[in-house]
Formats: sequence, C-alpha cells, structure tokens
Amino acid sequence: MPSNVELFLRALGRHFRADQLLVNKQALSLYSFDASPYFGQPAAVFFPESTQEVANFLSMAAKFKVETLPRGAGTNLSGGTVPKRGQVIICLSRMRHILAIDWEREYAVVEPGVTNLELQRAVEAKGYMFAPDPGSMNVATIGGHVAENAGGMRCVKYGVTRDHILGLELVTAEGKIFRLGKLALLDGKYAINSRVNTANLVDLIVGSEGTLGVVTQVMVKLLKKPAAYKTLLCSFNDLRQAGDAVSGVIKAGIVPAAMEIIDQKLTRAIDDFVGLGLPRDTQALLLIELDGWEADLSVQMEHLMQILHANGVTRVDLATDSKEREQIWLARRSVNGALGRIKPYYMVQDVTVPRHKVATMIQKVEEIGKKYGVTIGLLAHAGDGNLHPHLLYSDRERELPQIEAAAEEIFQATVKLEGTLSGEHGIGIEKRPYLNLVFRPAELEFLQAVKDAFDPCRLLNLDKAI
Amino acid sequence: MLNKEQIYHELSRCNKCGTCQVICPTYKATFHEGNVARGRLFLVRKYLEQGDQVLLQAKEVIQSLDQCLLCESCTKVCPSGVRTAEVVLYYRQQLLAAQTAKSKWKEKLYRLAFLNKAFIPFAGKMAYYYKNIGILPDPYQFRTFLSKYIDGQVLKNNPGTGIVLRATGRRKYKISFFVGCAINTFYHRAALASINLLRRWADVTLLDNYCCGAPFLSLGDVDSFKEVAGRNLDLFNREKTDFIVTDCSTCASVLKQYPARLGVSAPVLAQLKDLVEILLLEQEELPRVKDSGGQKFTFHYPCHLVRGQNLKEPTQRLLSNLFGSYYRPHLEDDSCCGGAGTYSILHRQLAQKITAAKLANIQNSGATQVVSSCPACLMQLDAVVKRLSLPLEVKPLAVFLQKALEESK
Repeated sequence: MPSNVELFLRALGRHFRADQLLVNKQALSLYSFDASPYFGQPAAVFFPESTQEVANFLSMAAKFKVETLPRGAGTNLSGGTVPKRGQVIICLSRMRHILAIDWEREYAVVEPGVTNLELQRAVEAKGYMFAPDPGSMNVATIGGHVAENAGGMRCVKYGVTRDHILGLELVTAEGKIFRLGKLALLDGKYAINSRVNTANLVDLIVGSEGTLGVVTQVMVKLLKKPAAYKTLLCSFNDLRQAGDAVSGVIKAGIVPAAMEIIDQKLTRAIDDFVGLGLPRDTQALLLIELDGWEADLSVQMEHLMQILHANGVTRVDLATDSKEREQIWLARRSVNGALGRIKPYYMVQDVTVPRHKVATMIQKVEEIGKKYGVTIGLLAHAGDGNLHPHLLYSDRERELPQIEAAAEEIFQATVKLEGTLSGEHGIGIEKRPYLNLVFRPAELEFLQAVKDAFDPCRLLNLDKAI
Repeated sequence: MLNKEQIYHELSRCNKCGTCQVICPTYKATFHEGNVARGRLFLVRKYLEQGDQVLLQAKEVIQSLDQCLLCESCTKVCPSGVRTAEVVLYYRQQLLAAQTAKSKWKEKLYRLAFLNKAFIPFAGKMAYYYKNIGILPDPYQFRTFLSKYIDGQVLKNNPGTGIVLRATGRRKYKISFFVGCAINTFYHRAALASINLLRRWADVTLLDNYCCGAPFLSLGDVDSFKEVAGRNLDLFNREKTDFIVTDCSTCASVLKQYPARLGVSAPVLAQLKDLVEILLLEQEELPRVKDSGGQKFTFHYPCHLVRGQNLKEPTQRLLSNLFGSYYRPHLEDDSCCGGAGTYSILHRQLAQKITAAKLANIQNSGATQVVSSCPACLMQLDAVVKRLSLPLEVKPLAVFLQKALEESK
C-alpha cells in the first residue's frame, strides 16, 4: 500500500513538468540544510513558477494530508527551512520576477524569489532603495525577508522588514489565494488599495516563518536613497566602552543609519577576506554610519565625535569615498561566511536587549564564554540592541553539548535583562525549546490557536517558530 | 594538485552561508542547489566523510560536479575563500579513477587529441572538408558553426614554426610565441594579428609546443596533464628568448600554474606572459585611438584573465587609456560566459543559457562589439550571438586592436 506521500508525488508528477519536481535521494540531500547547523532530508522538492501552481500544489497536499514547507535561497540562520519532519519543500527560487514598480507612489510588487540585491539593482538607478539590508542581502530572497522579518545594519534608523511591507499575496495551506494589506489589482494592473480597514494581517504574516501560509507576491515600500553618508570606523580598547558609546549616541538624539560592534576575532577574519586594512589590533570596532543631507551630517558629526571621545575611543577612521564605504559594508556583511576562517562550525545567536543594556549584555556573554570554555565571536547591531554572539566550534559531537549549554545561559541572561530571543533571524528550530522563557503558557496556546486558524489540518512547516 | 587533507581543509571552511549564489553562473541559470558551490562542496564532503561509492555513481551527483565551469567566481565572493574549483577537480580525479575502462572514452579521446601535436590541425582539416562537402548529416548545425571559424588554415603552417619573424619597429625583445590549440585551428587570424602587434617591439618565433593541458585538468586526468606539462617545460627551458607569449588567456593561466600543480620550481615561467601583459608593458608606445571614429565596444574578461592571472584592473586601465569612452564596461563583465572549453558542447543547453544572460548584460551596456582574449569565450559568445541573431560583433582582442591602430594612423 503506497503511503500518502507516494500518492501525492504521483499526483504531482501528473500535474507538473518533470523539471519542476526533484525526487532523487542524492539531489534531495542538497535541500536538507540551510545556513544553520540543522539537517533533515526532504521527501521531494517542488519548484512552482506561479501563484496558481503554488495553490494547486497546496490544495493537493491538503487532500493527501502531506506536510510541506516553503523555502527561498536557504540562507536562514535558525533552521526555519530545514525539513526535519521529511516534508515536501516548495522551493520558490524560480519565482523571481519584479512584477511592477510605481515611482509615483513609491512601491514595487515582486515575487518571493527575487533577491534583495536584484530589487536594489532595479530601483537604484532612479535613486531608490529597499531599506532592509540583512548580511545575506546579495542572495537572500524577499520571500525569506518576509518569513523571518529580516533586519540588517540599517534597521536602527529604518526599521525591519515589517516596516516596509505594504501588502502580500498569500496562499493558505488549503490552497486558497488571498490579497492582504494594500496590495490590490485594478484593471489587471497592480494598485494601492487605499480602503484597507480590515485586521492588519500583513503584520501577522511577516515573521511567521512560513507556518501560516506561502507568500507569493510582496508589495514593498521604496525609499529615496540618502544624499550623503559618513561612515566611521571607531576603535575601542573594550567592547563595553563601545556599547556605552552606542547608548550615548542614541541618548544625544542622533539616529545613525547603523551602529555595528565587531570584536577583534571577527574583525581579523573579515579583514583577511576583503583586505581593507581594518584596525586589527583593536579590541572592539564600532562601525557607525550617518546618512541624510550633507549639511545635517557635519553638525551630527561634531556631537558624535564628542560622545566617542567621552567613551574612550582610541582611533576614528572615516571612509574616504563610496568605494571604501562599500568595501567596509561588504566586510561587515561577510562576517557569518568568514567564520569558516576561524572554526568550521558556528551557532549564531540573535538575542536582543534594551539598547542601554548592550554593554551589560556584552559582559555577560564574555563571562559565559569563559565559563564554558567556548570561543565566542561577538557582533552586534548595537544601535537596536541586537547581539549576535557566534559560538564557534570544531567538533560537532564533542563540543556541541557545551555550546548548547552556553547558548541556553545566554538566552536566560537576555531574558533577565528584559530582552528577547530573536531580533531578526527568527525562532526556527534553534530557539523553539526556549520559547517558554519569553511567553507564558496562555500566550503560547494563543499562538497555536492562530496557527489553527490559518492551517487547520496542521500541514505547513510544523515544529517551527511556535 | 591538492591532496585529500588539503581538500578537506577547503571543505571544512564552507559554513553554508550561500553567498556563492550571487555569482555562480550555473546557479543563476537554474536556481538549483546542485548547481552552486555550496551544494557541490556539500556533495564532495559527503563523499569524503562517508566514503560512499554511490556518490561516484549517482547520476545527479556526477552531473552537479560535471557542470561546474571551474570559473572560480565563487572563491572571489566566498568570505572564507573556499577554493571550490580545486574541490571539483579532486572529485573528477576520483571519478576518473573509479570508472571502468569502457567509460573512459573521454580520457582516451583527450589523450589522442591533446598529447599529439598533429591531431588538432588534422581534425581542423577534416572539419573544413566536412563543412564544404556537405554529404554527411549535420545533427547539431555544426556546419554553420564551423563555417565561421574553419577555413582550412592553421597558424603553425602559416608563418611556420622555428622561423624568426623580424621586428617591424625598434627591436627590444626576442619573443617565443606559444601557439594554443584553439588559436592554431580556429583563430589563426587573431594569432597573426597578435604576432604583428608583438613585432612592433620584438623578433617573434613560433613555438612548436604541446597543448597547455587545460582539457586534461578539467577532466581530472592528472597523469596526462603532468605528461604534457613536462614536455612543454622541457621545450621552454631550451628557449633563449626574453619572453614566451601567448594570446590565449587560458593557456597563459594554465602555464603559470605549472609549478604549483606539478610541485616543481620552474624559473623559466617568469618569462611567460599573456599578450595583455606585453601590451601593458608597451602601452606608452601605442598611439591613442580615442579620437578616431568608432563604435562603442565592451570587453568580456575571461575567467583565466581575471581569476587565473589577476589581470582585470590593468586590462581595464589599458582599454580606458586607449579608447576612452568608446570602451563600455558591462554588468558582471568578469563572469563566465559559459564557453569553458568543451563545456559548451557537453552541456550545450546550460552553456547557452549562461551565455544568453551574459549577452543581455553586454547589450545593456550599449556596446555593439564584444572583445575578448580567450578563444573558447569568443567561440561561445559568437555562436550564441548568431543563434539569437543579436546585433553584436564578437572580436578577438588582437584583431580589434590592430584594426583600431591602423585606422588611427
């Protein structure tokens, strides 16, 4: 008697072209991972090319009661796209058309497989940008941004993905297609729906990690690019001083586009990659970028320098031209990938604490690293209190228990400082066991009820996020 | 060649971040994880860790590693600098060793073709007759393809090897000209133009060399590669000239790798130069062609010029200096064109998809001519330009340059 999955795959074979379906065991192993440390072999991978195909696929999956999960570029850091339960993957990498750009109303409508870089390239010539800029922005898809509510360096000033999504097209687990938020069709063209007065479902879907439905179109906000930038590399003798400088800057009413703390280990690793000549001897590097109008920036710079000096800055380097600025950001965005230069495996955390507690949290992380004998590389979007301690290790079997113990203690310390588990990477598989640290049982039950409302048969990306 | 331990060191640096997707030409043509460095590294790692022979037999695995262009773009963007091409070469070596004698037709054919100086000119002649006679069937439109390149002429017979072609300008150097196989058979006009350029400063002698070994290398046939490289090195050591020059970027790059791949020291290779390097050395001597009337052109930087020899920036400067705003760079002008030697024949559809994407970028630059310095790139670009009937002309660097210099006289 063939299983449900087998029957489902047979049905798919009748409905879709052979090149839209992957069933070979070896080829499937290529979809058993993302950028996180987790693995799980999928039952099959399906490559849809339109919303209707996604809908047909999902309604068939619902009929055969087969579990599925959506995936984009697979750059996820918390395991949200790993098919731990042997699900069938809906890989949206072929849905990568930019469907419309409206320069007057400043929005774009894109398919989920469009990468952040592709979107930026499409709008930058007219002086626009899409604000979220996660480290993986060159390859990460907009669908993935929506699923994880991705952040990035610029979110101190511009906010996270949720703040830039106007509307969505969602296919539910049962294969029904809905347009949410401001995304509307008028005479066959995309338009802003200005009469939205229903519940704000867009904000609910953004960050739901593919557990509530599959997003097939995204209406994103476009912003005018700033006229000028000042990019500073500030050296400190101590990570905590850098942390204090960050809260000093915010208190003074300056809102930089980005404030990033990078520790010495990571600074050296990324400098090996880009060869920029970053200050390798500094204990803590604080990368600050101001953007806006040239005249405003020089005033802000004066105040900024005062604050930096008051917090013991030892050296400040200013990027001299746009090429150098780009190189600095390339270096910053390459941290995760460059960790391979230090140790082969890492677990990256995403804890977030109130901004004025960044320095305290840094101290805690250092103590926990020492206590468990774990090498920790520290990186922080310090401007919004989001810390990425990278727990590095070489031996998966021997060292993992220590790594997990240290990770748990970092979570607990975060909660004690009134922080939360995730700023932008999502809960995924990684942080799910720790949800009870931040949610009460009644709240968790409520989240499950929301899940049931969208996915009553419980088929979509189970055991993730909630 | 890297050994197992070194390969493992490369593999262990990949932490699956996926950055390679941004540049890998095969990924951008298929959006499939099997066609990107991260996936290829994963498969080879699985093979090394599990020692599972299935990974040397499964069609999907072989195809994934077979379809790597070895363009090395991924290494450039990889934050951990993983040398995927070396890992792929290692796998191909293992694959070749595991294959039965019967399935080694490719290795045998390559040995016949590239270890034997007479074979390629002979094959060229046969192709010439095939093209002209037209009795035999033509399943792949080879005939139209060949008619562009094959005119029965072979460079080595043309000026002849061993004869000294005197300098036309003030003689500064003596140069031995390394004749690449593809140049010899398909682009002898380009080679003649290169030789004429070189004769502005040097006496030029044609070398009676062997294949540089690139085809063996990409097949994973290390023994044959070493054999042919050894023969070439012997030949070079006997040369008493100032420079050994080739106008094929692939040959130049592979020849420069001899010491690292053979594990020998070869001081003679310090004299080995890509034609571009000689042009750079003598760029003061070249007249400016800025003001001459002409159409906009763009330059396709072959993998073996950019990543093989690290010559992109100097070449860019040379072209801007000589041609000013007539030179138009295009988006991703150093990404692989999909030619990659026999790749364009063995993986025809994928290769053409990659080339079409490249040509779209070229057209967006506003150029009407594409210039390049690698015969495989030139053939592939030209074939797809014809196939899609695009309003573009594809020209070898030396031919383009010589014409521009003549016009600006």
